[in-house]
Amino acid sequence: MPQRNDGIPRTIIEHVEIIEDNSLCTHDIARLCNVSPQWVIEHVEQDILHAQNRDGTYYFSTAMVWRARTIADLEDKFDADPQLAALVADLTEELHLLRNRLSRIDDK
Amino acid sequence: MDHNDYYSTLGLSRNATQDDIKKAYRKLARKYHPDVSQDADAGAKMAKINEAHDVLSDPEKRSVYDQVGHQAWVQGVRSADDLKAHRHWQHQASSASDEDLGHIFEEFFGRSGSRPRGARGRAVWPGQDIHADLSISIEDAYKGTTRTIQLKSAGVTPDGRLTDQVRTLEVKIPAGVAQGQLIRLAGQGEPGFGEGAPKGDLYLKIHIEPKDRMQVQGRDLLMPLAITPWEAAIGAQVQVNTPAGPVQVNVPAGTIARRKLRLRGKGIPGKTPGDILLEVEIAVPSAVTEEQKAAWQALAKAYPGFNPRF
Repeated sequence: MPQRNDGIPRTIIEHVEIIEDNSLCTHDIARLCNVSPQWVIEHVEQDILHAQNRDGTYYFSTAMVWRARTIADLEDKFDADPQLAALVADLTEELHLLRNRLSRIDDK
Repeated sequence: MDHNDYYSTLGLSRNATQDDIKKAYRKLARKYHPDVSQDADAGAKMAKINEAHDVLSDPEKRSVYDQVGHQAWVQGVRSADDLKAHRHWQHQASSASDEDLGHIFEEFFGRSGSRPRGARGRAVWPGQDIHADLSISIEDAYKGTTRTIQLKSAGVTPDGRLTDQVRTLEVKIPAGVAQGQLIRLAGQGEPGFGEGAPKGDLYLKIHIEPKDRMQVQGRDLLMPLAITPWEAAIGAQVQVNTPAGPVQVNVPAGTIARRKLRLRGKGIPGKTPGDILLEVEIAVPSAVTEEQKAAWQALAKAYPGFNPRF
């Protein structure tokens, strides 16, 4: 492993794995969010998480990882009802979008 | 908010119940969450609060934390083997007495020195995944880039000493990553604890930073297009400089402000490339000279019934 002048080991990573949109399955989402596959399926069935159903298998977008992690976190830390946690995730996303729009207006 | 251990971070005593921990966390989260707090370092404070909560709200982790203490915990002690290595290090560093550590061992292993049931099972913990955001520019998203990331995690030296390890990763980000795209770096997460424990993965979520009023949504690039009133009224072909290079754009006659013109396939490249959405703005020139004023008056005369307020 090459070392820089400051002695900190440096690893050069030439090839990274790009996670393509709508390529994540139920188990991927479960692992990324530290929840059970059953939790993921239940949240899809309650229309809280959105997935493409291809031949009976759910596939998720990478944006759904952030949403699922947020909802799982709210449920865990606040004992939040799943629908309420989803509402908070929606509002948080909306807040970020509005802040982005505001920053564009401020730049004018 | 400079605290010594996780209990004081959450403002709790060591005999706090799980209910107390939840209540304290919720109160602090409402105060310091970066989405609601005005504090410049709210993000850092919230990270400390989350770290404390993650340990204290998990009875198994809390039990180990209580027994090994804060210092050992933050240096990576998670199991009996770690505690041995930690003792070795502590002994070398002479920062704790043997009597104190003997007490910790008795608490942890029992007075006979044998492992408690289940300790062996917990001694192998797979490494945790690390999730991080990586900001890149719009140009980087189009052309690719190399970014340097520094990660700090617990590690063990060849002589068994626990230490904080700083690693630097130089990561080649390929051209064509979208807003919110996930990138996995297998085996670059937290190290596992115990023999043969697998390392976690590092997940980077791409954040493409807005610039000059341009911003990326997915693979689409939203950017403003300023045109003149006469270009808007009678149409024109204008040149637009985009991150994909200069593009000739047909502005249709009768274009109104905030209309979006789509340049298909000129957004962030990929299997399905994104589009550029040009949001029209009509720039009205000032009437300074007599000639310019006359020109605007002539325009007003040409539209006697025009009233934009109806």
